[in-house]
Amino acid sequence: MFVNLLGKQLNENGFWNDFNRLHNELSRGLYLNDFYKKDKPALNYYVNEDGAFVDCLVPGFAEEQIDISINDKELTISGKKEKETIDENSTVVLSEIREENFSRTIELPFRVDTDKVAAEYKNGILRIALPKAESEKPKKIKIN
Amino acid sequence: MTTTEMTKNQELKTEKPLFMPAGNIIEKDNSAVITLDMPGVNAEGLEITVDNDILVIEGKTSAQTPENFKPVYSEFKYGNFQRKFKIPKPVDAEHAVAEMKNGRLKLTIPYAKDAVKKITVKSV
Repeated sequence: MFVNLLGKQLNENGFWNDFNRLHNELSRGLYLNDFYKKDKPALNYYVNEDGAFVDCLVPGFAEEQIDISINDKELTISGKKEKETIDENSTVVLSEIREENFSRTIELPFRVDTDKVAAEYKNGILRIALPKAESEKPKKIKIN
Repeated sequence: MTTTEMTKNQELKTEKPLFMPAGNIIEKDNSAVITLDMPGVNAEGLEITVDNDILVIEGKTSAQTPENFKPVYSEFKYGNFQRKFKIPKPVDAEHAVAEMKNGRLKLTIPYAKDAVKKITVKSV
C-alpha cells in the first residue's frame, strides 16, 4: 500500500490514515498554527504614527486564561490553563496539539499610553491595541 | 461531467492546500472526536465533508490588517488549509456535530451503529 510505503501511519493499527501528513512530509509543509512548532504563540505586528497593534494566535485559550502586561516598553502575553484530562474510555488516535502554558515578551519601539491599551479576543486571535504615549509623539514647535 | 464540475476539479488540483491545522483525534463512546486548531477561521469559512470513508476539513485564512495600519512583522500563515483523513469504520455522518470555540474546531462523528455486528452461533 502506498501509505504504508511512504508515510507514517497514525496509530499502530493504521486505522486512521492522514493524507496531508504524507503530503506535507514529502513537501515540507507548514502548520497553520506556529504554536505547535515553537511553543510560543505566533505574533503579527502592525504600526502607524499613533501606535501599534499586536495580534497573537492563542487557539483553545479562553479570555480569562490570557494575561497581558506592559512594563515600560516590554509587552508580555501569557496563557495558563489546566491540562485537559482524557478519560480512560477513550483512545488517542492523533495528538498534535500541545496545550502548554506560554509566555511571550516583545520589546516595543515606543512607550505606550497604558490607560488606553485595549484588547479583544475573537476566534482564537488576541488583538491588542497599543497607542503611543503622548511623550513619544513628535512635538510641533510654534514659531513666534 | 459538466463543464462547471471540470473547472472546479481543475481548480482543486492547482490550488494546493498550504497548511495543515494541528489536530487531535480521540475515539470515545463509539464516536470519533476530531479537534483542530484554526485561529481566525469563521464557521462560514470552513467546509467539512464526509464522502464514504474520507473526511475532509478545509478552509482559508486571510490577513486582517487593522484599518490605516501597516503590517511590519508577520508570523501568521494565510491561505488554504486542509486536513484529510480516512475513517476506519462506517460513520453516521447525519449525526455529526461540529462546533467552533476560541479558534478551535471540535467535530464529533458517531460511528454507524450497525458497524458492530454480533453474530450468534447456533448450536445444531
